[in-house]
Amino acid sequence: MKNITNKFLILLVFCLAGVANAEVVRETARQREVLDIAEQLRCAVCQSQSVAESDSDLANEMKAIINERLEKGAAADEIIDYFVERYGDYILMKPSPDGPGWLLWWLPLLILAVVLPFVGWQIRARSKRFAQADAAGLAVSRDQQERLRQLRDQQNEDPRK
Amino acid sequence: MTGRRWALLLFPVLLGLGVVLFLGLSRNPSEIPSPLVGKPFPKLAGVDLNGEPRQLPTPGKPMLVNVWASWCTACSVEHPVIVAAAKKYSQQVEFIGLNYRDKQPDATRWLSRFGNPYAWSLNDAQGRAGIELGVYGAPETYFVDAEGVIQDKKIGPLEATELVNKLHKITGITD
Repeated sequence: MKNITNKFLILLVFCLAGVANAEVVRETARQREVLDIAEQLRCAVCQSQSVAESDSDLANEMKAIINERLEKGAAADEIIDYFVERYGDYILMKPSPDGPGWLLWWLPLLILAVVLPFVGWQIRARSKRFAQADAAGLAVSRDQQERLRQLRDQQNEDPRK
Repeated sequence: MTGRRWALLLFPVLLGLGVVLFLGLSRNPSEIPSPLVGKPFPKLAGVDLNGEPRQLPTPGKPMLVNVWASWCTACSVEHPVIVAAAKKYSQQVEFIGLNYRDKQPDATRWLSRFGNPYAWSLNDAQGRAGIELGVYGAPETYFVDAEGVIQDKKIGPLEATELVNKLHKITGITD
């Protein structure tokens, strides 16, 4: 018990060390707004990071532009369009559902629409086959099921196991 | 029985997917088509490396805008190609530089060392003009016709034949 308490105390010391050294980050509403837009834009020079996550020169300049435009009263959509006009849809973290991007959004549903009827048809075909087999006396009868269960139970009770 | 039929059906699908994914491997993810091709060159104003006020586009003459920087090693590989082309075509085509995210003294030193093929270079220390043009990095080259419409763009260093071919697009000259 004492051992556990000690471990817990040591753990607590390590946890609190982080808090003690942490810098207090203050974020203004405007900064949040800039980051919200920057999160939707891809950092063009770092492939799979958003502008918000990246600290590259290009990303920082883009954040500065977002900030300036917000200060001038531009809407988020307008700012995003500004970058799309220059860099194309590529600059968007989420591909636009317009243009060729629609395929990305609808493909899963399309696949589902194609596959579901097949699955339904398979299930129906199988249950039909089973019903036929049953009718032909090929399926396992109730008596046989009972006998199978007994055999299985016997095996489970087998001391060798 | 039905399992085998499913496998037969699945095989071409998987094969097609495999081919598509395999072709994807040979594509360069950093090569992105510019939406500005076919559109007018954006209006840019600023100063050149000598501090003279300058404006883009320059009307009436086809124009090659080359994004370069002294810190950019690929630019120094590409530079002799631009210098040679400027010697040959500067009558028909305006060669403009866009000095991207550079320091002015470094940029002028670089030009005096490797030669200056440009009529002038826009000083874009902040990279703002670059963003206006949708620049990813240096080198990048825009080919603009006499009407000020961007006809082609190259991301990365140009080779001699490619440069000439693209120049033909904006001049109509074939030699």
